Amino acid sequence: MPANTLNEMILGFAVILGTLIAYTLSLIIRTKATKKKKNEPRQ
Amino acid sequence: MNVLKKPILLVILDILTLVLVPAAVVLVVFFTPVEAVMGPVQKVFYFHVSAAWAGMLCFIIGAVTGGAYLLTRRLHWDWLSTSSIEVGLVFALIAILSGMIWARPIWNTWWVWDPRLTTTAIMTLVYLAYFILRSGLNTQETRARLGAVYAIVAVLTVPLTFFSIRLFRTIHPVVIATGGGDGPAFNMSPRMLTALFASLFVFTLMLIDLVWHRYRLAQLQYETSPEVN
Repeated sequence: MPANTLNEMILGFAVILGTLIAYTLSLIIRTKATKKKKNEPRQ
Repeated sequence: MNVLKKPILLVILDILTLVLVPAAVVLVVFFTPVEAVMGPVQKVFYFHVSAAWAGMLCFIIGAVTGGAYLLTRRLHWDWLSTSSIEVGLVFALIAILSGMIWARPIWNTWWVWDPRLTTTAIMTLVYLAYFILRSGLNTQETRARLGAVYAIVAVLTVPLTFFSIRLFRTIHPVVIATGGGDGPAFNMSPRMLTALFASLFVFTLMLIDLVWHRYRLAQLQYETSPEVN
């Protein structure tokens, strides 16, 4: 009989996918902010 | 070259990654057998190994491109080196966190100072220090030059981490078993092996996609304010 470790499996996948999503979002935000800065007229 | 325009190959890579990552989750969760002793938590293994592989590959790319920068002094290599290392850190963090979650019910502890875990922690901290070093340097040229030297020296932690389970006594399982090492080896069924190789492929694809996006960001940052970047 395998150990009942379903909760740990769900937590594991949540952490893996959550970290990937968080990093992807950080890339999107940083890229948008840089593009905005690039398009601003220079003083 | 217009850095704002996304290359068609990158668009295809984005779509492939967006489709294949959920597909890999479905494959691992629903189509792999439940391990006889550990139960469902063992399924974390497929992404844990793939993240560790992707992280180490990123660090090797970071060192190779760092070397290319020192030889050519072209900033493109520095952008690629720093992008690879940043993405590698994310994958290394995923490998550590997923390993801790897997260890909790199996080893009855979140963390143990086992050679593999210790060397992985050292590797991650060494690469974290790479960004601390860069942030403390003023000019682009100094950052790129010292960053490249650091990336080449730091890559020594990658083989140390990889071979730690073969060189020292450890409780960490040996995934790629070739007969050596003290750690327990996995006996994987064909379906488990298929899921492992599929996960490795998807994570490698995701690595290329993320590094490419991070490289474009570095390029954009340089064009926006070259005196700062």
